[in-house]
Amino acid sequence: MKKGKKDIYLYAGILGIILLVSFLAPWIAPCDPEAIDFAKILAPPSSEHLLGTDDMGRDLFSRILYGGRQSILLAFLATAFSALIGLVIGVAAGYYGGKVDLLITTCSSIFQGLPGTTMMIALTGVLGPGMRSLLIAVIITSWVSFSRIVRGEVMRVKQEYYMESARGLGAGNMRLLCRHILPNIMESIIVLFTNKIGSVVLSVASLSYLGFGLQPPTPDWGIMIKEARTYFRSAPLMAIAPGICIILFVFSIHSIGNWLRDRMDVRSETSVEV
Amino acid sequence: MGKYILKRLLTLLPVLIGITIFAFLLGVLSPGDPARAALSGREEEGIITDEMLEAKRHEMGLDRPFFVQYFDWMGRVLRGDLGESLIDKKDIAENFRMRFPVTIELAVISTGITFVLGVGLGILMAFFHGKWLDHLLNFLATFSMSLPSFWVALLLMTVFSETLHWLDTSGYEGFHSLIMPSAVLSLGAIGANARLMRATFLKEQGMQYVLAANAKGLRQRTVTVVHILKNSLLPVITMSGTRFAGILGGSAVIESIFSLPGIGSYTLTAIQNRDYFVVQAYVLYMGAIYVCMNLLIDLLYFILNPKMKLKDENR
Repeated sequence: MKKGKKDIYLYAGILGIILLVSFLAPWIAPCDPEAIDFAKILAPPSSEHLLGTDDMGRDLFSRILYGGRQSILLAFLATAFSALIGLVIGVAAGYYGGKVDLLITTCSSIFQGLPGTTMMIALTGVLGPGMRSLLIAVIITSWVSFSRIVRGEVMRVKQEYYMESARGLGAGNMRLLCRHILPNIMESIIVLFTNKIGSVVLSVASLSYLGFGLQPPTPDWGIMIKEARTYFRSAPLMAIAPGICIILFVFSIHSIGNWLRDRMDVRSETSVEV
Repeated sequence: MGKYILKRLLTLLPVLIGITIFAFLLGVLSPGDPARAALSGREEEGIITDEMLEAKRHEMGLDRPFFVQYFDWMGRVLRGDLGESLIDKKDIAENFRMRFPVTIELAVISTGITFVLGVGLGILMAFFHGKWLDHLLNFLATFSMSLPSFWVALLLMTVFSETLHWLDTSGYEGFHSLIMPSAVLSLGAIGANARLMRATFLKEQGMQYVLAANAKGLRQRTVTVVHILKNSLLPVITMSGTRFAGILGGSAVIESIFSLPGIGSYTLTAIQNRDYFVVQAYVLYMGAIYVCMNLLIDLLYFILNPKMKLKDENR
């Protein structure tokens, strides 16, 4: 277990660097990521262009620095909205139970029957490309995973003795919810939230790659891979650099999510042993 | 058992109806005029007048209230008629049938690989719990889940098709065309399956029934295979089932990168062409798959978990 603890600093460090660089990109990028220079097409790495240039003579290093801004921001926003919607709906279903629960469960099963990247493509196809459509598509396809987990947790917490005692002491619904239920389900939401951000970044990159997500000339890792497709052999850096960035980001955030989950599991394991 | 399945069917029916409404709404709410699209696809290109549009709308029944259109559409769907594509005017159901074999083949192969390797590696990790092999496989599992599939697909195509010339880049010419696509599709899922298998296996290992079985003097192998393994397979089966349904629903990304004539690539083209009747049919098809898969998973649970049989008999 000691090993896992040390690793987590590494992953948090990688994640921190990516977030910081993405945030500071306008100030630290050596070149304009959208400045086209046809005199320097597919130039190899040099002191002027650290990673060389792409098929339109744009500085690859600057584009890499900018490349995560939109999709990471989008992933955070969309996941936060999904979590919020899932939280409200899940609490309603779990807390009130009965007919409310039946209705909500049926509705969420409908959305669960329409999962995945293909559904996101269909939605962005209908809504037209752009940030707003992507946001809506991600929320529609991911709020269910939050509401389901929240519902289950609320149902579990509701049966605890301390809930009954709090109610006996005259605590109202709102107080029970905020003081007793929410703190107890926060952990599982945080774990799901962390892992979801990773998978949303992956889906958005796939969508951008297919032309349904972010649109060129936005410097974005997914779009960069799409543009590098034909040059994979002649200029491999053009496709490999953004790919590595996506992997580093998703891997570090998944690892942090797993670490958080394992910490929770440890606690539940000890309670089983007793 | 019949009663149990019937009950599950009753809860899934509203879900299916909800999905049909969603599919219908997706078609209705989408921008663009189906009547105009239907007219502009003709050979006799010319100016489309308002009268022509009006007539076409009436002919297609688009001037009626939405709910009438919905029931009309549902009626046709129940008779197996999904309508025809706005673009190539071909029968949608026929197109789905033609493309289904490729998609199902891909789903079977990749789910098979995922299940076998996921369970195997998961058990291996559980046996070496806390050792370096466990750490290494854990690292690899998380890593494989972090790979963008389209990027891996490009990488594989560059290495195996363009450099080594072992496999064809695209198209469908039998089994070997599915090697790379199913490898890419399995990659992340193996990691997820292995992690889940490891976690459930370790959890089951600590259960009281294992202690009882050991105390009874059962051989270690019997305890592991008959008791722990059987119980820890359930979550992995659910995950694989969902994954199978997902690939059956068309892995648009992979199918289009490898140019496989499956349902995913067909839908992707339809979305690009704003061919909403196809998109509508597709959502419907996914819903049907979801419901069938859920029933199948329930059935498997029923067979594997004797507790549920007991509940059923007592009812």
